[in-house]
Amino acid sequence: MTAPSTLATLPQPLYDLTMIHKMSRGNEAFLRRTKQLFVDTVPQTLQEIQSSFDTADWSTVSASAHKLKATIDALRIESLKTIIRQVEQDAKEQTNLHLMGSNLELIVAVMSQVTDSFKEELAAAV
Amino acid sequence: MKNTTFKIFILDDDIWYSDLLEYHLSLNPDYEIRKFHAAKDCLAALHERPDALTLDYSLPDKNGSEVLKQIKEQSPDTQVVVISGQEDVATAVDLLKKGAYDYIVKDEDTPERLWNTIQKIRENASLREEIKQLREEIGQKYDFGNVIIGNSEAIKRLFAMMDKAAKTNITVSITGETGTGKELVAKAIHYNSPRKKQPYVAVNVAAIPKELIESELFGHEKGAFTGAMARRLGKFEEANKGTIFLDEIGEFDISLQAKLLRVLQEKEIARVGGNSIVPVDVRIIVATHKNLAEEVRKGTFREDLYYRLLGLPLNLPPLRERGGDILVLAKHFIEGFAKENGLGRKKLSSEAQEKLLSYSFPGNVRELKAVVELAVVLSDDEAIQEYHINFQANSNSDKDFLTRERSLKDYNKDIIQHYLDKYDYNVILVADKLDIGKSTVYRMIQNKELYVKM
Repeated sequence: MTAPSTLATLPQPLYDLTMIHKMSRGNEAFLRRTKQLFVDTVPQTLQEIQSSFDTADWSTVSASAHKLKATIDALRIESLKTIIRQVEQDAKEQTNLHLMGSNLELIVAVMSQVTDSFKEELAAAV
Repeated sequence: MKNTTFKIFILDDDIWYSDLLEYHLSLNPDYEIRKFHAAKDCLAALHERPDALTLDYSLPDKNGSEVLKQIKEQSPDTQVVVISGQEDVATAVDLLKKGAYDYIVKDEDTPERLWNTIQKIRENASLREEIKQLREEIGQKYDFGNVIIGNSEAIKRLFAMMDKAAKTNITVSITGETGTGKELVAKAIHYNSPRKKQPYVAVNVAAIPKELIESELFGHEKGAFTGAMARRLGKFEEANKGTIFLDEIGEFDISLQAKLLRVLQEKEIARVGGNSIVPVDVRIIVATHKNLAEEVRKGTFREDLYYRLLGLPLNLPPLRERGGDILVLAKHFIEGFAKENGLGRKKLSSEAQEKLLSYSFPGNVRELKAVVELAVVLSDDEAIQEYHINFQANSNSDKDFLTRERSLKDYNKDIIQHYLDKYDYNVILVADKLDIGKSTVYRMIQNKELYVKM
């Protein structure tokens, strides 16, 4: 069981696009598209995870965490790699529910920060 | 491969991740990729028969295992790569048993691993297509009409019987003079039967030394005899699920006949030196130039084995009884030989045709082929004349024996080889005709002084 960290103590950078850069092979259009898709889809998933937590819909919490896991891994958001797996498993098994709130808070905070960062980068590229 | 485009479906409810996979795979211009975010949409599109499909195991609308099952039912040739966030060995093994090609854990290396897996699938698909084409070619090559050329009533009756034989697993016994095409018929039956994708194994019983034949057919265990360094599978095991062709079955030793009878009755074998019974599922075709009924009367062939082997008897008519087929075959061989050797058109003159029709062809089709091919070589222009047709190829060889100086050893080799060629590599028969020891011939074969076709 992991105690939640605060944003201030999180390692920087929040994310690492090395893998995405490697895959894109220098294709800037693809990089922009990837960031745009993130901005378009992740906030909705975060809302789903929050509302399903509020209604104690643990299977949806688990499924949403599962969905975010691949994105977190691909973007190497190191601060969330362990927590997202913990949330997925705890929601599935309905264990450590007392930690769920703070864990989800951290996830939402970090992912929102990444979203904002991408928005800025996309705006700057225009 | 039928065309260069390789169709891939991506089924993943995660829009962002599936986009990533799609982009990565699309870097290969030969890949045509479609994304689906719901199982029902993907299943509805399976009629497009994708070559490969990446399946996210944790879909919201359907369990991944269930989706895999439906994909394999609807599109069995589609190779499915399951991508899952769960590193669960039991699930992976279960999915692989259910037909998944591969199971990849979702992490940052997934796109690269998926790329490699798709490449392997593509290579395998290409190999499968090549095998399919080769099998089709073999099937065409051994189409009855391509194997036995002729229009005579005797041949038409033979085709009808071969067709019946090909449709069942009945044992087939082929009789006929040397050179009538017994092995061709056996092959044609196999490659037109339901067993055509399984092994075809031919054994010339007469060409194998008696002391080795049991081990050759039934295999042996390690240490069964001096020199048996390891277990060896015999021809019956090699032919499992397929067809075994036993040529010159009349040469089987009486003690070995009992073992063969057991294979036919119990469908099992025991390796030399072994205690365990090995089941075999083999379709048996036998051939002999001997009259087996006569051999039974003489006591050299078991009566129970004779009746077991009888099955569907096919008698290949000698060439002299096939009337006009002689000219049909001659034309076929002439065209084939001329084409193979880059020669111009060749045609038989009417005198040459008459000469062919008047000959008895004791060597049957094999002899006819040799005669007309020599005639093609000897003729200088388009017409093959009567004097190009030489039935004394043997006596030419005799003249050759006399005119070319050589050692006695070489003379002996040439004579024995000549008899082996003439009598279908039947060592026992040749030794008998030349009044020499069989072991002498076998030794010369082993020392590669003589050539036999197995």
